[in-house]
Amino acid sequence: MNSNDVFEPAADRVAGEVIDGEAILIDLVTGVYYSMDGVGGRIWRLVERGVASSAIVDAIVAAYDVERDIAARDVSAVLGELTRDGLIRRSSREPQPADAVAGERLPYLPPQLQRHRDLEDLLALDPPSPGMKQIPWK
Amino acid sequence: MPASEIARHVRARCAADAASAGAVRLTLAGRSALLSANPYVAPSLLRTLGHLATTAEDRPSLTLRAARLREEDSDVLGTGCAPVAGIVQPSPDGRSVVHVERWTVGHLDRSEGRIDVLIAPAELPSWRLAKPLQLLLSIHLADRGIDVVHGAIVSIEGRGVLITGAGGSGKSTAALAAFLDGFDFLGDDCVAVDAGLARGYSLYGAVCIEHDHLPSFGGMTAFVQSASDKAVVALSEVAPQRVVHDTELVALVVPRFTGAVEVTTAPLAKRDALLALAPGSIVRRAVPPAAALSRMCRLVERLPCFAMATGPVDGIGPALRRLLEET
Repeated sequence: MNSNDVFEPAADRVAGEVIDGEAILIDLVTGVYYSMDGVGGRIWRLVERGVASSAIVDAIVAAYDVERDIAARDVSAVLGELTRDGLIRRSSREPQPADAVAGERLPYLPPQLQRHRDLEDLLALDPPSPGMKQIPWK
Repeated sequence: MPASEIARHVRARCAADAASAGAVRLTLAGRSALLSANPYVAPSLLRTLGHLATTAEDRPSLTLRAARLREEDSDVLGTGCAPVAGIVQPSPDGRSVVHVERWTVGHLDRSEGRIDVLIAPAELPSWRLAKPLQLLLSIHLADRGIDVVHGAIVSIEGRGVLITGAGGSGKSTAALAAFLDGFDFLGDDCVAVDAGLARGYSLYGAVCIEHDHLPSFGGMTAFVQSASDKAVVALSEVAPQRVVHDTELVALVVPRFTGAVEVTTAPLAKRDALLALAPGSIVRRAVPPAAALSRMCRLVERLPCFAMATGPVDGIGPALRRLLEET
């Protein structure tokens, strides 16, 4: 992974929101849904904003009490997982700055991408009506 | 057959067959709707939609016309080849959506706010008998910022609880138990929500219950409409005054059967509440995913959220009453 890489959510495949700092992501193709708290939620926010991967690491180090090499390793791992699961993809857009972080650094817990698969089996057994995804929305 | 021709066929048949039918005004998610149904299909529709009837004469935002799906229609439209989930065919500009199932063929004109549908009520499975037109209604309501969600709503004196969770978590059981305990009922697994207003709306007044679960809800056996898979019970016929149109939402509850002696509630993290509500309401559903998730997130942020550990069915109503008193 190049430190200047910018990623973006795969908008045709994933719906995501952050609530109380935790990212909730829904893969509309497989039915798998994900949650990432704390550091993971912040990473998702920064990906949505279009912040380059190196700047994401900077933002995590600024916000959390963590060594840079550990933060870099964990950010890379999360971005890799999100990419492999098809939730984000490399973007050609110009990198955006992360918001400045103020205040004391928070305790660091490594980000974890939790997968919930209960709908995956349902989707496989009972797929949606063909054509559903072609419905255009305003 | 191209969607445009299906739409033309359905509209023409409804124009001919439903024209002579009496019109019923409904309140659908806070808005006026007008239902004209051929006498053959009207009883099955009104059994589940009739509780929405109103005397108000506002200009309808939705016109619903329903006629009988005849054998010759099925031959022309090819419904016999449709998968169980049906086929959805939107027009390129998105204005028109056709939904072809084996027993119903519907057309939604999103601009005009009109649904025309051909139905074979005698052939409908229980889940479609209880909840007709769900896909097309979902699209119509989503276009107006209202989400049809996978959840139940019960209320007391206009204060409602949205009960949500994964399939099998006990939403329907909780809703029916509350109904038997005297709560007003708005739906057991398919309800409409205006997140901005924190209001919940009833769509359907009928529920599906496993035949062998009916004895647990003893008072309802007399109102069963026979169907081959599950029993369809029109709650609006059981207690008409307690199947209501809408309610303020004041709490969200996620049930989980624990087998505990007593039913208890405890605060639930917003993240867990959203995980219980959103995926099942978005995946496989005719909703705009990102917008719907955003609205559900706002709703969860706004409502107090609780986990409900369930055990005996008759403990659910009292637990929800206590929760409403404390909220």
